[in-house]
Amino acid sequence: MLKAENIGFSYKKNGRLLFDELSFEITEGSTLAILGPNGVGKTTLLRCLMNFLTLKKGNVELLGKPVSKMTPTEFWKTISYVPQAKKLVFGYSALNMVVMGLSQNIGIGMTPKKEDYEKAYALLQKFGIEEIAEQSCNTLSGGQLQMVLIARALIKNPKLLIMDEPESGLDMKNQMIVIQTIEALAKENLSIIINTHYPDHALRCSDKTLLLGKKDYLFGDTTSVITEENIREYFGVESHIVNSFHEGRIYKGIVPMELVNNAC
Amino acid sequence: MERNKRFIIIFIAGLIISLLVSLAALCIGRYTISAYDVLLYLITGQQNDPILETIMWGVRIPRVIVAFIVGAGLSVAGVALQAMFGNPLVSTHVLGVSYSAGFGAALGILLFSHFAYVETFSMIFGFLGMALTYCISRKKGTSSTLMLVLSGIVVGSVFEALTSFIKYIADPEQKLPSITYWLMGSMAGASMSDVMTALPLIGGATFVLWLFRWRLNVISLSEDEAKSLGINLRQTRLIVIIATTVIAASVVSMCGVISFVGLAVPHLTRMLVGNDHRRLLPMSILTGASYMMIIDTCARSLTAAEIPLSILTALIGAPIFALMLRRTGGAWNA
Repeated sequence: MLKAENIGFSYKKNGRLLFDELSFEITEGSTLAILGPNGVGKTTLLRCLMNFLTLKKGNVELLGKPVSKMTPTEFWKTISYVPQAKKLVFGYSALNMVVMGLSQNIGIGMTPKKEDYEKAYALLQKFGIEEIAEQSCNTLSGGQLQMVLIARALIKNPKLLIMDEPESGLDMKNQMIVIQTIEALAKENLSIIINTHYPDHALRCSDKTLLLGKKDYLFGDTTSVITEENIREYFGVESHIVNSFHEGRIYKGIVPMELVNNAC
Repeated sequence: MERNKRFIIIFIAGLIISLLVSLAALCIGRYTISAYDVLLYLITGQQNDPILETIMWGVRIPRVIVAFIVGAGLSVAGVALQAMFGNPLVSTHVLGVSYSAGFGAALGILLFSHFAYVETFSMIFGFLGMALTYCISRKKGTSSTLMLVLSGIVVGSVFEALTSFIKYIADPEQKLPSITYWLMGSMAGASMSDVMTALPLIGGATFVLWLFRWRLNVISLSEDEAKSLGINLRQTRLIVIIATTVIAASVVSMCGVISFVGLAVPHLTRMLVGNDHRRLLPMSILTGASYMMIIDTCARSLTAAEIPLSILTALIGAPIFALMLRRTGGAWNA
């Protein structure tokens, strides 16, 4: 689906590379979690993947085609971006916000059609939030707004969803709603890249994990990347990974205990 | 939908009000004409008053039309720029266009006395200012809105300083008063030939912005979001910049610098119809036009001498705006 090879990026012309020689891959229908401490460049990496920033080194392939050779139209037909939910400058209604996901097909001088609105409404129904359709996005709770943004990303039927910390800043229930939505979408054979602060969430819903550190990185199956040793090394936190069983499924949790003594 | 119906009612009400305002503007003046006489003349051409034709075509009809297109143009430009910058504080002044066009007009007055030169100069400098702002803000092919605003402020202040310099060296007996007067805005010189040049320019630019009404919704989101929704951001921005510059420069070249309209009218309109540009844009044509016609009628009839427009736009507009702001708490993010 998406393959990054030896990519490197720096904000300054000859400055220090924020990340270097980074390689990873996401296969169709799988979920990749990007983890790492603050300031390590998670969001920057996402913005590079989406061509908002230009890579200094390496290349990214989407469905076997180099991204640098794709037109924006071609690129954004396959990929959808879910930004972090934050207040809008101008409050549009939730329904209009979802319909904006189809803007690519709406030419100059055109406006969304009735079918577009029906599609948007159906998505809100699917998420069980159709009663907020006419409400301004700025009156929604953080969780509702995040769901609206996810609906906006899904309305054009993308193959790959890129989410930037979709569950941060939400309360426990809303975090659960977002996590379960991600799981449900993964079952529909959608590929997902999710940027998160929570190793628990990566354990819960990702197949592969990219763990970014200040000096190096790890990429592999989530269960082999998120281990007690790696959490100690990358986050500087002493922790235990615990398993609990519920209705035939194993849920893994991370219990943080204390800072590692020589942590920076 | 319920909201659609509400918008249609508001829009039709706005249409009727703006027609009534233009009729009133045709009647009111130092020489008052009854609405019946005006309507009769407009419809059948019959004159109940011998000087009706002179007053109508010589003064009032061009002025009312100019006020209509200027008000509509400025508020549409304000709406479009507020969307593009994702910032409700923005108006045509922000790109430095109003200042550079104002400088062009002042230079024209200083060097020549014929008004055709003044208009051409202010048009040329309006575009020059816009081009400068755009060039400065572009760094390695990228252009962020913040860079654009800052470049606009830089370019604007340079032209403001140049205008001050012209005022300083201008002949205080003849040139200085007319420069000062021009910079405060007036429609006293409006003629049908002004209408003929301004209507296609401002009308055309407004039409272009109307074509972009859905995209304005999208580009008012953050840059990354707008790009990810498959919008060609640079192309859309360039078109919005050019269209609003055409409007601002034509307005300045025709009737000087008019402040406050491009900022306040979009907000008043937001309070009426909300933030969706499919509604906001057409509605702001009507509110802007009505507002400007009222202001211009006051400017020419309140006192024996003409009052500069910028004085009235702020003096009359500010209390209304303040009252509306306090009552609704502002409608841009609701």
